[in-house]
Amino acid sequence: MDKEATREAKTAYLLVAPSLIVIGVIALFPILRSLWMSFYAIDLTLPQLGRPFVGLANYLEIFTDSRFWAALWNTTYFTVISVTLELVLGLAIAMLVNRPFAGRGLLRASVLIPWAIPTVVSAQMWRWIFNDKAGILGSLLQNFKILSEPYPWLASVETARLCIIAADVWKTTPFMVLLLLAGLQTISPEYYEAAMVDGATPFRRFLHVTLPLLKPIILVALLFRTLDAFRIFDLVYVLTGGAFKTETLSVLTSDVTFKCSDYGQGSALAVVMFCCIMVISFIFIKVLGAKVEE
Amino acid sequence: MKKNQALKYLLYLVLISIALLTMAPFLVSVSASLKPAEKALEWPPNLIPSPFTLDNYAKVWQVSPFFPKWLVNSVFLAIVHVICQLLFCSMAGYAFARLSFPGKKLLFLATLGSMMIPAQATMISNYAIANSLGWVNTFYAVIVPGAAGAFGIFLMTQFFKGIPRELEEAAHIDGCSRLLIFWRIILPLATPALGALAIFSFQGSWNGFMWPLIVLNTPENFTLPLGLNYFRSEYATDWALVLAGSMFNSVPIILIFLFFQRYFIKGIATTGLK
Repeated sequence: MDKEATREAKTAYLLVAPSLIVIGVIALFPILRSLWMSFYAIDLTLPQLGRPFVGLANYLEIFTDSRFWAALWNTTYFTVISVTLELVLGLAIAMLVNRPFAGRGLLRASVLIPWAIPTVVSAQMWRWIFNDKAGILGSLLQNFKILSEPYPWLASVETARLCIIAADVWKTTPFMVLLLLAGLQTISPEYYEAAMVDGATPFRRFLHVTLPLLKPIILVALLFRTLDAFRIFDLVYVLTGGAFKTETLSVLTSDVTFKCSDYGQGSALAVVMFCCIMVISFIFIKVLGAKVEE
Repeated sequence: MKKNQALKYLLYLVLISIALLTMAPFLVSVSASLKPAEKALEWPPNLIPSPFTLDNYAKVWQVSPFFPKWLVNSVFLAIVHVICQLLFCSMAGYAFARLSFPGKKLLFLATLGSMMIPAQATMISNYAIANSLGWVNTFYAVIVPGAAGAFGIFLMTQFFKGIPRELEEAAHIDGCSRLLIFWRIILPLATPALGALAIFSFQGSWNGFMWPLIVLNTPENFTLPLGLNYFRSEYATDWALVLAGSMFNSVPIILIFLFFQRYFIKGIATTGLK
C-alpha cells in the first residue's frame, strides 16, 4: 500500500511539474526577489553608490509619502466603483440574455465583443471618444446643446477618473456576463417552477431563488475581477498616464521602477501591493465564504 | 395579456439598446475603416460608408512588408499557447483534483497566490532570465511564460472534481496506470472545460501586448498588437488605416467566439465554479 502511495505521489509531481516550474519562475521567484531587493537601495542612475542594505527605509519612505496614499485611495475608489457597476450590469445583462428570444445568439455575441477587442485597440478608441476637440462624446453633447464648448474630459480632475471607469466597465462587463451566464445555466428550471406555483413575484424569485443559488459564482467572479481591477495599468497608462488624480498603485510602481530607475523603492511598492491584494483575497475567501479551495 | 405584450416590447427595447451600446464603438470603427481617409472623421458620422472603399485594407498589406508575417506570428503563438495550456493545465488540474501527494495544499495555494502578484514585480526579473537564456527577441520568451497559468489550472481542477470517481476506480482495478486513466478516460470527458480554456488562452495570447512588447524588438518578430502599435505611431493621423489594421486583430477573435460560443458558455457552466 505504501508503495502505491509513493507511486501516486510520483505521478502527481510529474503532472504538476511543467505548470509549477513556469509559475514558479515567472511569478513566485520574482516576488521573492522583489521582497529581497526592497531592503536595499538600488538606484540604477547612481551606480557608484552600490547596493547598500537599508532595512525598512524604503517602506518608511512609502508610508510617509502622500503620493502613495493618494494612489492607494485612487486604486480603491476605482476598484470598488468599477467592480460594483460591472457586477450589477453584468448580472442584469446575464439574466436578460439567459431568457429565450429571437436573435439570442447574435445578442450574446454582440455583448461579448468589447472583451474580444484587444486593449491596444479599445484604449485608442476611448481616447478618440473622449478627445476634447475631435471626440465623439463632446460633439454629441454639443449637438444636443447640453454642452456649449469643448470640455477636456481626460484632462480634468472631475471627469478623468470617471472616463477610466467608463472604459473599464465597457471592456470588462462582458467577462462578468460570461461567468454569471454560465452560473445561471446551472440553475435548474424546477426551482423557478416551484416558486411560480407558490405565487412568488419575479422580484421575490430573483431574491430567493436566483441570488442564493448564484452566490458561489458571484463571489468567484467578484474575487477574480477585484484582483484584476486592483492591478489596473494599461487603461490608465494610455488614457491619462496617471495625471489628474488617476494614478493607481500599478502606475506608481511602474513609474518609480522604470522611469526613476529606483529598483529598491519600486520593489517595496510591489511588495506592498502584493500584501494589499492578499488581504483582499483573504477577506473574500474567509469572511464572504468564497469556496475557492473546495 | 396586453401587459405581457408591453413588457415584451420593453424587454426588446432594453436588449437592443444594450447591443447598440456595446457594439457602437466597433461598428463606428468598421464603417470608418471602409471610408476614404479624409472622410473617416466626418461629423455627424455616416454609418453606411459612402463612398465605400476597400483601399485602407489593401493599403494595410502594402505599407508594411511585415504585415503578413505579423499575422502568421500571432496565429502561430496563439496555437502553441492553446496546446500548451490545455496539456499542462489539465495535467496539473488532474493531480490537484484527484491524486494525493505531500505538499499538495501548499502548492495549490502557491498557484492561486501567483494570480495576486502585480506585473510590475515580475517584469524585471523575467526580462533578466530571458536575457541570460539568450531568449530575447525569440518566440521562446513569449511561449514559455504563457505555457501554463493559475487560472487554467484552477478551472481544470474544479472541473475534474465534478467527475464521478467511480469511473476511474473501475479502470484502476483493471490495472490501468494513473497516466493512462488521465489520458484515456478523464481527458475525453473534459472537452467542455477544455473548450472554455482554449478560448480563454487564445484570447490571452492573441491580445497579449505588454510582455511581447518588452521581449520582441524587431518588426519581423512582431505579433499583430505590436504591429498595430507600430502602425499607430507611424500613421498616427491616418485613422482609417489604423482602424482597418485593427480589424485584422479584432475580427478573428470575434469569429472564433461566434463559432464556439454555445460550447464555451456550457464549458464554464459545467466546470461549476463554486
